[in-house]
Amino acid sequence: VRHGTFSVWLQLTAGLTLGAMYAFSSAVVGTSQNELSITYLLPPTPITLHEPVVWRLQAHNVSKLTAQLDLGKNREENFIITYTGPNDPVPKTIRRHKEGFGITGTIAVAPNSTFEQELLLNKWVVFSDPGRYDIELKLLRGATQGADSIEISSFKASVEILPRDPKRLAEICNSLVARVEKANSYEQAAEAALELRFVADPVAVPYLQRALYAKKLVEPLAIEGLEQIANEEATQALIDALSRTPPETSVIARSALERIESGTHDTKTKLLIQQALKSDRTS
Amino acid sequence: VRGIPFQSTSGNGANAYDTCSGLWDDVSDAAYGNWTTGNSSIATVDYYGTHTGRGLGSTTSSTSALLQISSIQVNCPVHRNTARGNDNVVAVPVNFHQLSTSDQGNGDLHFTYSWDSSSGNLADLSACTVGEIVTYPGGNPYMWPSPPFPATSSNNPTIAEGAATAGMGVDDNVVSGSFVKPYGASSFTATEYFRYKCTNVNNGNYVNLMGPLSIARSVQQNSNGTWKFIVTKPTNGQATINPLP
Repeated sequence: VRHGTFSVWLQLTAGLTLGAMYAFSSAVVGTSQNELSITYLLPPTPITLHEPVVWRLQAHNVSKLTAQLDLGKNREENFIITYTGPNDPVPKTIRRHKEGFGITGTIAVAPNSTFEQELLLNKWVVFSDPGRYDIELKLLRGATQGADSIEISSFKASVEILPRDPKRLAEICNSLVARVEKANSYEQAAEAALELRFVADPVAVPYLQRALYAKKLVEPLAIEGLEQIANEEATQALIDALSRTPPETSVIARSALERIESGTHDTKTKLLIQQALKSDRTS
Repeated sequence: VRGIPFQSTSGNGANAYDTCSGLWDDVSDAAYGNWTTGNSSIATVDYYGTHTGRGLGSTTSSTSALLQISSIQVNCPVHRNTARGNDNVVAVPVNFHQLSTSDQGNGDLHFTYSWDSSSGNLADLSACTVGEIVTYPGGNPYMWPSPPFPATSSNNPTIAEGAATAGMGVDDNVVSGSFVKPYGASSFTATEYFRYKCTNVNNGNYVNLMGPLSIARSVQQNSNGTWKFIVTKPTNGQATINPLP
């Protein structure tokens, strides 16, 4: 087993400095008979505050045996991410392990094929300020190929977050909601909606509202995004959803409003929600 | 456009515009016995308008009815009205079942579930999700009784779902945080349903797959005076922390 983490780190840093389209990592190589390479593709352009930060994982199996990867529930819970931020030099280690249901993370990568998926770093890393974030990503479990175990080494990169740019953020949100609306499958719609859900910025509210009514099954993600923003506009969007969405979606909107009402100290918002929920109960 | 689950049924009816009253009426009864579909290899329809998905794809169905509107003021003759609509036969998740259960430690009761596509091909479920809804005894967020439970809360209801094309799912019933002293006997039960939804079935609303299932969590005293945590589900699942630290 070869480990290329250090050389990868240099390659990646250089790639980012030069503004290369993508930086690559071959973090895993098995024996000559068991070969699985893991590559992370990083975004080619600078990222501004509150944007989704997306890496793409590629697992390429060049052997004659199927490789099994266990990414954990929802294909995310076996990732362990350690990071430092510009105002937080003490490393934080995060592993998402949520209560409840999710799809299996066991992936079979057939011989001579590539599995690819998005890693939305905002799930783990709070990009709260502009500046440099140093991120190390590890998989809790290695891969298997037949009876062999393949160790997967960690991957390090830095992400430079530029100051907030509302115009650029609106363009990104518009592009994401367009992806939701044009999606041909739930997976496509959910990938874009999830990025939108993590844009923790008031700019995202009208786009989350569009996603809510896109009829692409991403209503829960749109509602989570609105709940996270929880300003007056987002609250009003959730109140509108009480009457404008099917009963099972309005239950989710009601639940989000109840939590905003329970958590806010803003009396105006509290009153607005209380009146809306009372009116919804009696209608 | 009507979504009909593959190898399952979906009801249909007919409405007619009443030119006398200016209102739409449900005239399904009058249309009984006249239903047909354009392609019986995709959908068939019975006497009452109940459609059955026979193959993935789209066709049309139609029916007709003799309608007469009684009115004192207007003379309304009997007239045969024909209605036509589109039928889309779509795949849905079926055979949802539990594969395994295990105690993962630290009070994590873990399950794996599996399901199939009614078409036999999971890729046909690209317009569907599979997930759960869990409701707690009261309040939103539901505050776990603490002590003795950890001072944590759960969204009430808790809703989670994923792409139905995965064909397999896992469910973790976890404890977040540390149990709080002084320990004492306490319990609460949440109710869980597994369900699916597809964009073009049941108007995009959820369809139940399994449940209700009771997720019962309790803190109990052992005979030696120590305390234990137990979480159970009625499908042979149990996880414990025994004794509590």
